[in-house]
Amino acid sequence: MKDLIIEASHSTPEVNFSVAKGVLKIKGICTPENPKMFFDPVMEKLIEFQKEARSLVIEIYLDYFNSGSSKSLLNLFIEASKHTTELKIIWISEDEELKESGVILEEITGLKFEYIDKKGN
Amino acid sequence: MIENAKIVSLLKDISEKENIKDYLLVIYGQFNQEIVVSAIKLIEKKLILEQFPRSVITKTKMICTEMLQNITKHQKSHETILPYFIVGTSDKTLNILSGNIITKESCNVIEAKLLEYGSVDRLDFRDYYIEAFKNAVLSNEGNAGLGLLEIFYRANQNVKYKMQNVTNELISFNLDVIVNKQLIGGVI
Repeated sequence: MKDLIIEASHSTPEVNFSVAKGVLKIKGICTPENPKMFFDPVMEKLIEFQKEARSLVIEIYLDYFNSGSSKSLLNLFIEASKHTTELKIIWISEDEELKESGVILEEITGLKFEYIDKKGN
Repeated sequence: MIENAKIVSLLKDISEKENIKDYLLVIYGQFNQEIVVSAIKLIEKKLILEQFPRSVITKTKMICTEMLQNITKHQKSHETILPYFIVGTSDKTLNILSGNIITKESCNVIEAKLLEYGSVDRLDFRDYYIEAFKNAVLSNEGNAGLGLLEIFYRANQNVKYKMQNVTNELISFNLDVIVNKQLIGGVI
């Protein structure tokens, strides 16, 4: 199974899904006009990855994002929690506004997030 | 030049009504995703220069993104009324204003949402937001109808709006969102 690499654009983040390591990293700005279209390949790769029960680390480090992307992330976390043997979600943020967005997703999913403050405020 | 005169008159009007001291960004004309991206970059640079707290900058970028993408999605052509997007500051607040023409059909949907979000008690809004966000469904076009909800949530419900008939089918929709410069919650 190949890794999924998507380069960042002016309105979409860099995606690096390392299948061998079991690590999915999403980093940058995430405001695509159609978030579903952007996240579909990531979701497809995740479903493919889950065919063999594996542990997975998801690392999210976003500068800012739109509501559709936030909903897409929620769907991604819910899907990831279904079949992976062990799931770790790392939410990296540079301020309280971004951290709170992670806290809300944590509350909705009921999953335990690990928070990393990059700069603090 | 007629359009320039209109925007100057609009800015004067807003300054008086909202007590705006400075304008950080004024965009007037048709919107697209490239303008959205450029506008957010410019707002970020200006807010950093003005030494706004980092959380206020992030909050503002996220609100502006929703407002700009809403204009881009819903704007309807009109001969004399063009969409606008303005970011200005008063002593204590950052004011984000938008205006565009929408269809009557969109207007009904938007107004129902605005009335509902505005009626939720401030102390209950976080729970309301979580519930609505959880239940929203993302369409194939990437819409989840969450834009206005996101704006209300991030602006602590400090949102005002105005809708006026332009024709039998078209409505002028103005949205004014207020963010506290120091990020202290509550009514402004």
